[in-house]
Amino acid sequence: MTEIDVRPFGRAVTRWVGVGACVGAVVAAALLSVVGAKAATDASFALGTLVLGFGVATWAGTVGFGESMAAVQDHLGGESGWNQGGARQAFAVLTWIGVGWSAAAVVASILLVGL
Amino acid sequence: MVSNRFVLKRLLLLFPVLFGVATVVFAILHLSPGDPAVVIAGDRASQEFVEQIRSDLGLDDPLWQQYVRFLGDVATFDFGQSYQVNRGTQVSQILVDRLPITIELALLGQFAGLLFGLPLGILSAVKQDTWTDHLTRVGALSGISVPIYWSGPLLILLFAQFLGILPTSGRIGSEYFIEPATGLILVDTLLAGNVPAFQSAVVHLLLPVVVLGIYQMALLSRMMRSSMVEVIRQDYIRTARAKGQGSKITVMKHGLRNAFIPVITVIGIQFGSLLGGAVLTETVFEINGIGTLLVDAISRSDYPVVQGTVLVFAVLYTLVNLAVDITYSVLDPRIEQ
Repeated sequence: MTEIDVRPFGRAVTRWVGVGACVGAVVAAALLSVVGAKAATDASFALGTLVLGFGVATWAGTVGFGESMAAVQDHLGGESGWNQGGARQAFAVLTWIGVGWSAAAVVASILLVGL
Repeated sequence: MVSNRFVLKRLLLLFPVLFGVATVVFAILHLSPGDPAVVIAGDRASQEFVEQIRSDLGLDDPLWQQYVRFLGDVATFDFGQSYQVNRGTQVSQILVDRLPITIELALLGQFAGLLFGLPLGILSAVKQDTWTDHLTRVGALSGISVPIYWSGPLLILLFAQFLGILPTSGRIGSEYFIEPATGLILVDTLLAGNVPAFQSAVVHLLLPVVVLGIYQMALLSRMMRSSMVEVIRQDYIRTARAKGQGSKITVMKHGLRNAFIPVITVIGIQFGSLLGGAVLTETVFEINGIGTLLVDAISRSDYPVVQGTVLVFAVLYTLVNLAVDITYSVLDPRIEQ
C-alpha cells in the first residue's frame, strides 16, 4: 500500500471510530440516570461489542465466501445489486464503529466505575 | 489442483469469523435477561448468597473485563465449566460427548437430501414439463415450505402413534447399551458387532433423518433442476447429441459436472440451516446432541455452554464451507483466480 492509499484509509477509519465513540458515550450517558453507572457502561459495552462482532464476522464471511454468494446470485438471476466489494466496505464501517463504541464504553466504565 | 495459498487464505479467515461470532454471542448473552447467579442459587436463595455466587463467577466485574477474560479463555479453547446443564463439568468435555450425535444426524440428513434430491432434480430437468417434472416440483415446494417443528410431530403421529411401526424418540432402544467408541451410534453398534442394536438405531434415526432431509432434498432438487435445465440448453450438449451420443451419457458425462457447481455452493451454505434444523429435530425427537444442549443451556442461562456450543457450530459451518470452496475450485478452477 502506498502513502497515498494509506491516508484516506486512515482518515476513514478515524472518522468511523470517532462516530462509534460518540454513539458509545451517548448511549452510556443516556442509560446512566436510569440504571446506574455499572449497568449503563456494561450495556453500552455489550451493544458496542455486538456491532463489532457482527461487523467482523460478516466482513470475514464476505471476504471468504462472497464469490460463492455472488456466483449463486448470478446463477439464480437475482438483480439485487449486491456485490462483494460493497458488502466488505459496509461491514468494515460497522466494525470500526463497533471498535469506537466499545472503546468509549470501556473508558466510561473506568472513569465511572473504576478498574 | 487447489493451491495451498487458497486453502491457507480460507483457514486464516477462520480467526476473524470465530472472533466475531464469539463477540456476538458474548454480547447477546449479556444483553438478554436472566442472571446465571440467580438460576444457580435458586428462587429462594438470599441476596447475599446470590451476590456470593456472582462474585465467585466473576459476574460482578465490569463487562469489558469479563470480555477480555472470555477472549483469553476462547483463545486457549477453555470454555470453563458448566453452570447448570452438567454442573461442574468442563464444557469441552460436554461438547466432545454430544457433538458426534449432532454430526451423525446432520450428515445422515445431508446424505438423505443428496441421495433423493439430486436424482429427482436431474429427472425433473430431463423430463421437463411432463407429469414427473410437475410432481417433483410440487413435492420440492412442499418440502421447502414445511417447517421441521410441524413435519416432525406430524410424522411421529403417523408412524409412531397410528401405524406404530417407528419409535417416537431417542437414538436406540432402551434395552441396548452400547459403549461409545466414536459417539456415532450406527458406527458404535457395528463396531460392537451387535446387529439387533444396529437395527434398533436405524429404526430410531429414520424419522429424525427424514425430517431433517426433507428440506435438503427439496432445496437440492430445485437447485439441481434449474441448474441442469440451463446446462442441457448449452451448445456443447446439443453438439454431443448431434454427434450421436445417447442422452443419458450426455447428461451424466457432460451436463452433471457443470450443473453441480452452483448446487455444491448451496450444499455448503445450507449446512448452517442443517445445523439449525438439527437443533429443532433433536428437540422434537428428544435426542441428546448439542442442539438440545444449546436449548437447555439458553433456558438456564448457562453462559459457558452457550458460548462453547455456538462457537463449535461456527467452526463446523466454516470448515464445511471451506470444503465446499475446495470442491468448487476443483470443479471450476477459474474460482481460484
